[in-house]
Amino acid sequence: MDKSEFFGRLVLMPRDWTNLETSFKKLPTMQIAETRVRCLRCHTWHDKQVVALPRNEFYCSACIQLGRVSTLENFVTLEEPNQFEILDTYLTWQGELTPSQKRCSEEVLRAFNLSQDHLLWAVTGAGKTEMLFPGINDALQTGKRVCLASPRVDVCLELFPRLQAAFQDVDIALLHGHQTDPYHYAQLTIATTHQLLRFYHAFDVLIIDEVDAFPYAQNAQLLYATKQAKKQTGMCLYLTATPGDILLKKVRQKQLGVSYLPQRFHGFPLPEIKTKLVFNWWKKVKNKRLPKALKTFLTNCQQAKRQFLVFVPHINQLAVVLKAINKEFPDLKLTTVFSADEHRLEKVQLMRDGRIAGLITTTILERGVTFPKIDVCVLGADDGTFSSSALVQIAGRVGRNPKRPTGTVLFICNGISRSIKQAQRQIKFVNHKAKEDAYAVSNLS
Amino acid sequence: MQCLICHSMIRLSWTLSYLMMPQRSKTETICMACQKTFHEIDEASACPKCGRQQESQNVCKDCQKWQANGSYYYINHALYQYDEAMKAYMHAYKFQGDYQLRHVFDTKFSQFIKKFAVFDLIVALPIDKTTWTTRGFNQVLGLMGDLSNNEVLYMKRDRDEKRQSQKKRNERLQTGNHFYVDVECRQQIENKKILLIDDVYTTGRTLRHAAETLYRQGSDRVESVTLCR
Repeated sequence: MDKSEFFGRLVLMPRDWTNLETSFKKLPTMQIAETRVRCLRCHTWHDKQVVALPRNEFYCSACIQLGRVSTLENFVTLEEPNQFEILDTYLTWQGELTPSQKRCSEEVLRAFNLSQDHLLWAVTGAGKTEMLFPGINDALQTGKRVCLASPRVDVCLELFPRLQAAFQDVDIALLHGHQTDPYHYAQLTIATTHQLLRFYHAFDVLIIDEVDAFPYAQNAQLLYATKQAKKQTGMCLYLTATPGDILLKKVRQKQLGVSYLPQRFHGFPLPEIKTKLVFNWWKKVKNKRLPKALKTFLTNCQQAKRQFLVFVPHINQLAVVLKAINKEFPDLKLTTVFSADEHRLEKVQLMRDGRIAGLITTTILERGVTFPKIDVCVLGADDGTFSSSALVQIAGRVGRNPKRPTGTVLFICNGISRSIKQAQRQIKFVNHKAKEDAYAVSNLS
Repeated sequence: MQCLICHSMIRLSWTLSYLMMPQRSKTETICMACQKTFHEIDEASACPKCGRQQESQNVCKDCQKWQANGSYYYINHALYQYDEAMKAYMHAYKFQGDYQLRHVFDTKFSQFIKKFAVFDLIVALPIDKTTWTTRGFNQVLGLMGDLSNNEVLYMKRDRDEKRQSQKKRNERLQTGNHFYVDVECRQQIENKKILLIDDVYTTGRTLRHAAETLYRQGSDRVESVTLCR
């Protein structure tokens, strides 16, 4: 048995272990209250009745994908010893940071050193990952254990080669749910946030990318996992383009340090959101009529030969919207994309190649994808499925190319919801910050 | 109410009977989309011996082989086809140990069992001691809902032997019989018609072992009901 596999991990005690070496710590799996039980891995409360096994035992159904936690078992763990090989070089990345990136990266490094929680608020496409390199480098050199976690697997898969290229000699462990390789102990770990449930007081530095993305945001289970996974003396760095209320409140209360990078790399502001009230747009679309605002939007796109994205709240609305648009604009080449779509990647590629004029999609394309010069329209932006951060991300799809740094962001809705208002406010705030920033920089030089 | 399988919300249908007697009306445990992935067996075109779904009502090849080897009377009845969706369900329920998932089928399965009212005893296939300490439940008892089981059959497996489900077909067929009847229970089963209950009929080896054990102890007739075939 390799002991290092238990360093800072929360492992269900293997069946064939009868006596435990003294260095191992045995931890209970469930807390039993009067009518409820709580899983001590994911901290979910369950009604006793619902999760009861025969013979007065209980189990947790919430984190069962990671192996069942039940009162039949115990956890074992070994304290994190920070037992890492000392290397000659860590950071092999040779790139340069812009002055504002440098400023943020220094602030991040300071937060790592002071072991204070920190928020890095940078607009989409600001080069967040590169800003982390100096900080991670310093942490690795001082023997700290570092984890970079993201709620999305595709983000992890994309980050891994980038970090491996930047830290060529460092052993990096990549952990996610679809994996078949066994776990190994490494100083730098890249993991999905769900995998954090398997750690116990392991990391000195825990970085969480896209904190506002599903499923991390508003998920008490994963918030708890974050708390458990870092050491009690450790710190957490949150990365996001669209911080939610909870984080912002912490910033206001000075519990959380913050660094802003409000400027896009090409220096232009984020496009602002235009709203158009259309009462009962869904009924119209169902009757194969398009709201006037959408019609003008599409005509403009068609005339200027620009590509576009149309977002709808639910998967089953995709086909209906497609039909309605096809009826009014028979020459437009369109298709729909959704999360479980078999041809998802191919369709996105078609769009990149410019072979189709536009995509109708759900929130799956809200982040991570970049099309150079597009316009965006959101149908039913007031629907509950669009959180304010999703709306900001959607707006952030526009104007990402220095050749066309502007564009239209049109929201068609029955009413102005709180999320829409928040999204508009956030974009205004960030643009304002960017102006201040630019002013400060020009004053310095 | 959330679907037990895909966790999406199930919409209540506000029928009159629901409004009048909300406790009495049956509540769905899984959503329509998930229900559609399971396929019931149509008795009109199933093997009369093992209940397997096929095109005709002839005795299937596997059962012909069984008939050639043994001479005792034994029939199996099954409710669902053991297809991909069912395999995924069984994996989550039995091997991941999500005991709540028993509610996906317990109502329907216990109703199905109740159709065989001519039997004197209902006997669920037992699990061995190790399984009790690891899994913590008998998957068959879970599926039987409110039906009561008669504990007459026991199982003992050698420590290092694999489970049936981990073996290949040939290995399964060569497995020895691990069932035994407690001496005190012998009277209970003598000259009785017994209905065995199990979750899956795969090769039929396990169920036949149980049936043979019961016949040897003097049972009059043994048939079985499984959730899937």
